[in-house]
Amino acid sequence: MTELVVTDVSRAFGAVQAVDGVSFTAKSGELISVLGPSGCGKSTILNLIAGFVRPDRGTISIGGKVVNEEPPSRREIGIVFQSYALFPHLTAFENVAFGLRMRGTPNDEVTRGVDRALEMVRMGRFKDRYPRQLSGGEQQRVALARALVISPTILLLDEPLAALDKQIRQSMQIELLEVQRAAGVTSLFVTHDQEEAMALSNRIVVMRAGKVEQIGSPSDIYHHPANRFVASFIGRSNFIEAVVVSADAGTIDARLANGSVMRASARGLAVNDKVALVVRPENIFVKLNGAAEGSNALKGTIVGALDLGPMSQVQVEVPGIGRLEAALAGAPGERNAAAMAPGSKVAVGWQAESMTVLKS
Amino acid sequence: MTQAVAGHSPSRAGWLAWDGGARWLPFLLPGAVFIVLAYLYPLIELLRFSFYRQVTAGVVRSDWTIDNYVRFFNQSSMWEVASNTIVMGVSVTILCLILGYPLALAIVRSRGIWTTIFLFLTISPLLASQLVRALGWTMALGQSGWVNTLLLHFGLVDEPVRILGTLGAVILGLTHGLLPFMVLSIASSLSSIDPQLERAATSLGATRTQVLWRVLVPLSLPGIVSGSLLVFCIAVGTYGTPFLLGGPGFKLLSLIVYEYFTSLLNWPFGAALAVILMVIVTAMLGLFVKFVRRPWQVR
Amino acid sequence: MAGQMTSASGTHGSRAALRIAVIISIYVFMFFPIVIVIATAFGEASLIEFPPSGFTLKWFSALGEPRWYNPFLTSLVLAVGSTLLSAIIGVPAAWALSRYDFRGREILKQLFLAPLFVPWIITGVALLVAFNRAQMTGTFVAIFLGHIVVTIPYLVRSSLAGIEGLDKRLEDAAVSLGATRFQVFRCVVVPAIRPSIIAGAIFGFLMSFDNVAVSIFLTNPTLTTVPIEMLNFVQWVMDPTISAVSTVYLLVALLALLVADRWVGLRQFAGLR
Repeated sequence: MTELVVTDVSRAFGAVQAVDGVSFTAKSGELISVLGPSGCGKSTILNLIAGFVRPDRGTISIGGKVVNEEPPSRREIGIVFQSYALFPHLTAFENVAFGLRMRGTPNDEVTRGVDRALEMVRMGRFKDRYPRQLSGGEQQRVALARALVISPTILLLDEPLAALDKQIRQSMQIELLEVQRAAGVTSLFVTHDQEEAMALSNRIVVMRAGKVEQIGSPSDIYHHPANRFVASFIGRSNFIEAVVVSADAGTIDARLANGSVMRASARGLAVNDKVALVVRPENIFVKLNGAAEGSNALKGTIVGALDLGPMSQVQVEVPGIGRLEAALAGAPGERNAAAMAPGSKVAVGWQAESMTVLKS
Repeated sequence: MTQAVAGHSPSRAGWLAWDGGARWLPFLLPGAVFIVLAYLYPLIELLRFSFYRQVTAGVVRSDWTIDNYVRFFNQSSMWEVASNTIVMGVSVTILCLILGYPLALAIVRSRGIWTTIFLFLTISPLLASQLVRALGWTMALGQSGWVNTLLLHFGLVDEPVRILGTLGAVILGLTHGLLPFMVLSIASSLSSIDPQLERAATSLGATRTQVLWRVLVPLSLPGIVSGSLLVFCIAVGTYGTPFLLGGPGFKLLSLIVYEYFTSLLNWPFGAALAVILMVIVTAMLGLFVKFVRRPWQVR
Repeated sequence: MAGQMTSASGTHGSRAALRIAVIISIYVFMFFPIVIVIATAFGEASLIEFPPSGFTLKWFSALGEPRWYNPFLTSLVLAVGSTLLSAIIGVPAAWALSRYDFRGREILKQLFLAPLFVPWIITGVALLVAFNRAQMTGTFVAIFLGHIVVTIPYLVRSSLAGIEGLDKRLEDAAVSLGATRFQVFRCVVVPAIRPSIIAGAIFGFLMSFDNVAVSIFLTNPTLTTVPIEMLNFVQWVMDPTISAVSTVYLLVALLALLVADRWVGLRQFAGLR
């Protein structure tokens, strides 16, 4: 049962500050993900925790012990690399056994441990195959078994599902989760795919340009993004500029660029503050012929509609404000494709609670 | 110009097709003709010559006889020469491996300007003619050379030691000369190993020594093998260095082949010796390839 | 990839010092005889001695004599000429070998590469026997052909390696745009594998320049190469002239290496990824 604590860690490479004052905690048994675009420093974080790179500042502690000075070979960490990094000259069995052999484990224990690990990932019958004889998903499972068989304190995964086809990826996500829960090991994985992060993590650490933007559960991050970057990086968002006209005990009135005023709940804002109202497309409803509903309704014209299968994406031009994107779910009949043709006049609106207010 | 058509029919369209064999001939033919006429044919001629009969110096009769081979097997001095050659070849190869692997590792692990420096240092001795290097060694190892001067100075010996003209000198000189080949061969192989593998091994608890022996060496085996083959073949087949360092005292197959073709003028016997040398080399090649089967590779 | 291998924990400590010491001593070993030779070229005494006494350039004047300057010319012509010809017949052959599968392809490929592995002395006497038959011994053509045999494997080998790394679809694209096979070779393949060709050519050049075991059977007193002349010289006279010649030889080769670095980059030249 180990907790991973990263405190104020920084690391620069030459002139580039890859990681800048990053802090977060992974509680025992938790699966957290570090999410961000390429170059945000997430791989460096992984390398720092693994020990391949030393931090310039800050501490990394595992199970209460600071490990900054420990070499990677002694940190008892299991790593699943993006390319799996299976030893091509060893069978699946020997790959998984590698860590145990490095520790001088006696043969019968090795066999037991490896068999058990391979069973856990359901690769038992492939144990005598070489990596080149295995598919991507199979290799990934062997890599996972190899990392887990040494009973690591922490499990690190570097973009583990990036190389897989979409269909396989989804089933692997579930498998990964099951294995991790069964093993109960504190895990951290690094990814640029927000869907993956949302699906797998207990909590997400969102990073950009070396700094932490927000830490929270998937739901927190999605519904209450802390800033513009998080709001646009996770899912899609509409940003509507407005100015605060009155603020009182957690509620504000904001005037939009087209003059209409909307009420929202927000704290710490004063009159004349510039804000951005953030609404996600799926929270916007579109009604034909301007039948107004909800407290925040605007009139506009449809300029584009795409039927994407599970939902339709509709672009509505609202004079004075700009283009809003709405995502309409529901049965195709409800979405009324014909009526959603470009040029139709509609009313768009959303519930006040589904809106987030961000200071501009 | 006819449009390219998937060529399976031996018609005109097929001939001019993209995949048609005839289209490749102009590219292949000059080289193929050359190599067959200027290389394969001479080798076959040599083989044929080994079965000729020597009448007197410089005169041969084109019978078919195996006298030359019989003579080789009967002369114990010939056996000694052959075994010297093999021992020398194997020693040079092993020494080059031992000295070359660390160098190759250093090159592959280096960064930026250091890579250029290491490569430059490794390749430049190659540029100095083998003779220049051998000359340097003769100067160093001679009776009044550096090494002896040092030994005498420190009182380790009472009189100059004879180093030139021994197996040791030849091994030294050839190792020195062929080391770059081995280093480059191994480095090339090492550089194609996925860098993540080393990290994976380290994260699983491997020490540097374990990473070397369990991961790097097995995966750089192609480079080790091709480097060893190259070094062995050049070592037993070269003339200049063994001549300068082995001198009159120490005989190798390459040296006596030369003698039989030039001063002793017994071409058939010389040819037979050359064929025997070829057999030795082929045997070593076969041994090597057998020794290194890699079931995890596609090829 | 050079440089990506980790040495996270390996750049400090006594183990690192030991490794550095080993590497340095191996390099010292490699340069030791060369340094000796160059040093003796400047010595005053007419006997080769190391360390040399005095400083003079007089031994270098020997290079102006026809005795040395002819072999240098011959060696140069041979090296450049055979490399060129090897490239002209070898590179297209390498391409054909890579793209066209026919019976006996492997055998032909090994035949091109064989001079690398077949001991040079065997190649030398084989050529002697064959040219003797054709009554061509001692001619320039004979030694020229011999040197092509020496250099062609380097060009074929490096071209094959270069072509292996090529995306075949580039050639398909060219064909779909109407290129003839010659155009594809000239405009797509050759520019793409230029570094490999140059690397192979420089290696070939150096091997030809330095060749003893083949040249020794095909040269005669009026037509020799530098290494052969050096061998002859050394058997009779051991004065610093030989060191001076060696030093100049080194300069030629060094030039070749600098060219390699400029045009191709040392890493690619060495075959590193």
